Amino acid sequence: MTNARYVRPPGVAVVVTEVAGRPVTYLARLPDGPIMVLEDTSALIWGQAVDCEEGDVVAVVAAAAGAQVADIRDDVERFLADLVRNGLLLRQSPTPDS
Amino acid sequence: MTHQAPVPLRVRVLMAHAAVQHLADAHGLDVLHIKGEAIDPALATPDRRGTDADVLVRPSQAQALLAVLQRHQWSMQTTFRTGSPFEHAATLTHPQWGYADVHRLFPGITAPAEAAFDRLWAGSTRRELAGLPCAVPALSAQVLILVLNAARSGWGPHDLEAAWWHAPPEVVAEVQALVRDLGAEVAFAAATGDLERYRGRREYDLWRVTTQGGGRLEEWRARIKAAPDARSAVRLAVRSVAVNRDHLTIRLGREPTGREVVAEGFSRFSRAVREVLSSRRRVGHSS
Repeated sequence: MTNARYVRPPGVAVVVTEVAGRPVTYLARLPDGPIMVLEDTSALIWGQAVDCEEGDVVAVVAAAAGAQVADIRDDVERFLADLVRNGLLLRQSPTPDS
Repeated sequence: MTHQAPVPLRVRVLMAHAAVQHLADAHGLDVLHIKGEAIDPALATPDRRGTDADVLVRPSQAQALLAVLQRHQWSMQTTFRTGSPFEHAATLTHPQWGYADVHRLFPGITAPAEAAFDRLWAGSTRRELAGLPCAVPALSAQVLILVLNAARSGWGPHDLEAAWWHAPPEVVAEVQALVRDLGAEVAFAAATGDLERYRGRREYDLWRVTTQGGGRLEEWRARIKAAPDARSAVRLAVRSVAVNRDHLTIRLGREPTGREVVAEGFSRFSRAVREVLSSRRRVGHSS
């Protein structure tokens, strides 16, 4: 399960915007960068992860995207792990996987 | 997952503000974010989006901030001395964030720079830029800075509509108090069409030339006249014929050779002589 809480790490700058009607999130570790770009679904996942205070991030993303949790769980969890590994997301107080 | 792609200028500017604030916080330096993306939305003019991040640093910490920035991939484009005739800002560029202008004072403010910064810092608040809380001047100080910037940039009255002409009475009163405290009466009047009230002030010619135009020689004469003391006036007089090596580098796209610096010096000298001759001819015709 993904009942961890995610936050934007300190020292990460973010600009959430739209480009040609599509959600785009720009992230950068300060003070040197580089600027990373999350588009469409990846922007949705990062945004839902930092907005989701409790519960399963995958379920929130699935609800927002109109998808089945089981269909997207592996991909979303892999992506969240990538974001954490790259310092663009901070995982806090994780509950043990069931 | 993530990738690097073309990044809109506005995003780079916001990130530049955040990057400067991050370093200022880390090193205990006071910076105020001004103009462009940092101004309150109530004052913003939609067609005047910033192309760089402007910050005002505590003057006594200016060199420290420049040193810190340069340790983090920022390169100096122009120094305080060569950036503008007002010697107020240095321009830096960063491979990720683009351009930043570091101001150590703001043209039009005649109060001592450190005291002026204290006055602006005292009323400052925080505004999120790229998700980072950045220190910005109080609303009234933002209005003042926009008006002074308008005087220097040759903006028209419509550019000040949101900031000044439509400002609520309580903001107007605060701005007027700031103008007095910071000794910014002449430049403020130049922007708001009331310059003639200050015909007797030593800064009058400077702001007349700045807002209404004039030759280089006239500009430098006005600048020397506006200098607060004889030492500053002498330094300006010497500089008025010196070559701005930074600007020459930018114009050529490379470091100028010694020969090119000398040639530029002669060219500036010739221009100054032509301006003297033409102004004499104008005087001759009119008399």
